Amino acid sequence: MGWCAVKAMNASPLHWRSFLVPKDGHTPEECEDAVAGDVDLGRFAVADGASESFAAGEWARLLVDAFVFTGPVKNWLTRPREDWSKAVTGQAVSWYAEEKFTLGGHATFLGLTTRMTDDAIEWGAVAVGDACLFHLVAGACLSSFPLGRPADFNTSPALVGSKGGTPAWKTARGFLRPGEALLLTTDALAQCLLTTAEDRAFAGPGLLCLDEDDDFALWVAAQRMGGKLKNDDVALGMLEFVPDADEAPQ
Amino acid sequence: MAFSAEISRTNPTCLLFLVDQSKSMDGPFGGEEGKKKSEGVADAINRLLQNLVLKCAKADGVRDYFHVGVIGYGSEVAPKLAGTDAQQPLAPISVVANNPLRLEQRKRMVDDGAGGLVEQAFRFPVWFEPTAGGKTAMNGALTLAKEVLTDFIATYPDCFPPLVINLTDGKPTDANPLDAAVALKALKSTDGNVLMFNAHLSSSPAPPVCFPSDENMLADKYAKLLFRMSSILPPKLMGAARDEGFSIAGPARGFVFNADLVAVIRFLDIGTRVAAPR
Repeated sequence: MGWCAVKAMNASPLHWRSFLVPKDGHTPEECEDAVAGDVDLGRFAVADGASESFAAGEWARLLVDAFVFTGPVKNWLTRPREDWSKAVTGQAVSWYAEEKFTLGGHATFLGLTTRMTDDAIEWGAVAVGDACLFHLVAGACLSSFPLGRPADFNTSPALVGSKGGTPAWKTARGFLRPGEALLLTTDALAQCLLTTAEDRAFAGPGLLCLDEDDDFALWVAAQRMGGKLKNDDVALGMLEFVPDADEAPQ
Repeated sequence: MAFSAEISRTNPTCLLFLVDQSKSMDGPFGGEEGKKKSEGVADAINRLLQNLVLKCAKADGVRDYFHVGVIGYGSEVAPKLAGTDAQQPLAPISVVANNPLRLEQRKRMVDDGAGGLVEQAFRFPVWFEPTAGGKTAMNGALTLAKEVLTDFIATYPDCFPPLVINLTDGKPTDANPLDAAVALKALKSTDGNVLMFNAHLSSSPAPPVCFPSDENMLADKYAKLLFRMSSILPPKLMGAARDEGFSIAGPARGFVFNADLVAVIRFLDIGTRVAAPR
């Protein structure tokens, strides 16, 4: 995936697009956020590799891919944990890399599963840390999960580790109806969106108007310049229930 | 808002350690039985540098978020870190990472993931050996620190304010260092004034004190002097200290007594932290 990517699948009532923009001053390869989604599988995810952990971007990418393409089955973290160890083995040569490898990679995570019902799409979300889901109805923010206020963010969120441990999962459920949308974002954009919601100028609907990677990158640059968006990697996935589509999702 | 500048490779900040290497450091360390104060200081500075490197280490190397210097004061007042000298008293953290004096093989007990503990070998970098000799030229060290930071701020005028961390037993012998400390703290970038923290290692076995707000909590007159020299924690760092579990009340100062200052490294925000203690 490039530094800013868009996927569009229009043969379903679900319309999915995703974007990734690195922190200002960082190269695309240094981006430690990840986003993945598959309309046919009905699963979507974002993750944010913790800056101070080892090979965090690699871990974030493995996490979102495992969730989307394997699904949250029993022990679904085992495979990405093994893959992370394989991918970074051999990189830990210096004393500091060895030490950080021992501690593992860490990331916040938000995963979304969907299932078609008669007149709506039932969704379920799981989250660790401060990556957030926003439910947009008629241009307003109906709900956000797992955080609800801009003041809820800090630099030590709960994390999923590559070296084991049982993450403190939070869960939420809901229904997506025609014309509604879900946004999956990592922390910087989530905090920005919650701030705009508190200021009664919710920026979510504006994001839904963006289709091209350049448009999103420009939007991010403008928000950063205006001091409304912290300079951090940004991942965004947008899932819309488009009423006029030809074919229902699985 | 002050103390909000992003710490990045293009806008790094500076950590300048002042290390007391005077004769009095040969005395026993009250914070740890069987140890000399000079050993306590060497251990503290090595752990501070280790934590700082680990904070910046990525899979592809160490990112230069920090420029680091160590000024030793004892027989002489001079930069002591490998790769630095009087002309270049600071080194990027990547240079520090790759130039310890030696790597010690150590062992520690870690969680085995099944409810037990297992022994694990690891390499611990040593940049400083315990040294004790000469006078306690703290005033001279603070004066040199001011010169070093004046140059750094001229190069990076928008930096997160540099931090000075002074590790000492607190008995200055060249002059009263209070005025020099005030002058040092008066230096500022566009993001705020230079911060001065003091770690006081005493022969007294009195209990450790971290970030006090009242000097009457301190028994030792040298501790009180260092308390007065220490910056009041700005609100952002006060919040970070609370997040790390410190009990902060009132205008807490960047001062610890017979305790380590490794937590201060964790206060520095370069992105999402992993909460596991080290």
